[in-house]
Amino acid sequence: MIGTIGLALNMDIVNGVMQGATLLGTEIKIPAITVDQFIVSVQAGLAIMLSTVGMFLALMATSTLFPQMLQKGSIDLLLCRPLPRWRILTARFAGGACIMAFNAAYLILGVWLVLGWKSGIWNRGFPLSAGLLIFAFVVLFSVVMLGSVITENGPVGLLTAFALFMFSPILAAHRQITPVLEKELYRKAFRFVYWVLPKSAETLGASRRLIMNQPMEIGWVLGTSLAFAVACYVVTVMYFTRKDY
Amino acid sequence: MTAAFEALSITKTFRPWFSTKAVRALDDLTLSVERGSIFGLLGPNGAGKTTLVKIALTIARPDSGHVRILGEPVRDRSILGRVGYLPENPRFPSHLTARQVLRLYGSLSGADEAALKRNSEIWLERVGLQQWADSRVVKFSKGMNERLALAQALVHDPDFVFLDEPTDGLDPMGRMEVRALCKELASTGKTIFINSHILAEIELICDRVALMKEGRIIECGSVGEVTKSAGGYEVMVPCAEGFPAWLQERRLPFTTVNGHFHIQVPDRNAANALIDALRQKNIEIEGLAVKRRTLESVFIERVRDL
Ligand SMILES: Nc1ncnc2c1ncn2[C@@H]1O[C@H](COP(=O)(O)OP(=O)(O)OP(=O)(O)O)[C@@H](O)[C@H]1O
Ligand SMILES: [Mg+2]
Repeated sequence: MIGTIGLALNMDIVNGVMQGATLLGTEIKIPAITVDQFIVSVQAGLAIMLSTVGMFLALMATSTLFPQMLQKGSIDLLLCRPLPRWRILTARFAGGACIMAFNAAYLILGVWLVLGWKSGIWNRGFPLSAGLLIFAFVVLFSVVMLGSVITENGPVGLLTAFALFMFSPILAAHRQITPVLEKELYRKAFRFVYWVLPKSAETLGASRRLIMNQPMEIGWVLGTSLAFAVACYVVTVMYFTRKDY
Repeated sequence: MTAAFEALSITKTFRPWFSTKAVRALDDLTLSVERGSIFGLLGPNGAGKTTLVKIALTIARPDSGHVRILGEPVRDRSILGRVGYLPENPRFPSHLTARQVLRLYGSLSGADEAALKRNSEIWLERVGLQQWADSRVVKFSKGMNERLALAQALVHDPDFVFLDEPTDGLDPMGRMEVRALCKELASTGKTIFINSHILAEIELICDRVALMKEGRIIECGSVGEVTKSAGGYEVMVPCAEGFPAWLQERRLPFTTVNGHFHIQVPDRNAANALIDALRQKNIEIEGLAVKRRTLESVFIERVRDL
């Protein structure tokens, strides 16, 4: 996959100025920008792809993990072992998260290596952005886990996670939205919702800023999103350890 | 020595969320199984057999009561490493091969690697799946899946085995092999707990059986005891004039076979009383039989009765 991208992206570099890049032989017209800018925009573009389409696909692929495990005849084989139930659940979660983390890291590092090797530009923000991307995924994956373990239905977990994901851009615009709200009560409610829900859009936005070397302040964003994921995990474990199958 | 399996007044009610209808699956059920025996739990669909096994394995929790396996309470779960379980409709992760399935579930039960490696080959061979050892389980037929599940229940060398409908989906050869296997395991001191409705099979292998209905044990004992008590006696006498009227007067059911009356009486006292009466009338007794019924007829009668 990465190899193909690397080979397809056959760049001519002249005096550090981009004259044109050919993708699969067809020339892409690009206004004169520096190689540096070009590389960064390719990386940012890839990050956007991964954090939208990639995120949807990853959540979709992992949403069947829990319902599969919970099927009759399958869950019995796991719960009859001398293992605590939280470990069974955690192993499943970690398994799903690791597979997707590995895929994302593999893709991003691969593209980074190929681009760096072709252009000589090693943008440190890009490989680091994989961490944010994986973090955003894990947070939403914990929502998938919560929804699909409680309802024993994959699509329900998936849709809950999607709903939060789609709502997160609204949270990201909280600086613009809060002042517009009329009553103090609404403002308080919105602030509360902002602090509680996972801030996927902001996390992913931060990954683009990281790539483009722009300043960012995301400690609270990550902290509260992590707290949400931990809460999902704890609730799921509590539910799962008490449930009769 | 303590019993291999003890259930003490287990009650379990399933109350689904947002539903007012509660199902009492087990009702103050007490049961014990001796070590080294083959025990058969029988009962119609929905009697609560699977629920009892699930509670014993901590897959479900009882509302009250507790279970001990091999003398240890199942609540602390460490005993489950010495227990094997064949669930009804077992289902394995489809991307695994038969061999990987045995290794995975064996290690989850806490068996050590070397023993597991050895045992999984032995059991693959034993259940007739050695040429399928490296095939993915998605390709397996129902019977092959059941065979693999049986191997899975035994691969960690458990001392106590729960088999829920073990012959479900197996061909006659497979059924016979399972029976032979159960006998063999019991002879090495392991305890086998079978749930089944295939009574002819249970009759062939079980040392003791319990009959369950609506969450309660309604009959328990050896196959001989269970079938005898329900069978009654049959007294045979030669045909004679006026005799049928005499029998009808006493409300004794009888059949006529080859010039003989076969008179049915429900128990030993009635048989003795009948014999006394017949001897006083100077009627010769041709024969007396303890009527053993098949487990199936007892089952059908008892289940319909209550
Ligand atoms: N998870 C559950 N939720 C609600 N009700 C349940 C659940 N599991 C079992 N039951 C109910 O408990 C009763 C006993 O079910 P169980 O599966 O133990 O029967 P069984 O004796 O194993 O029957 P079968 O011979 O068909 O396997 C049934 O009425 C069933 O509807
Ligand atoms: Mg059952």
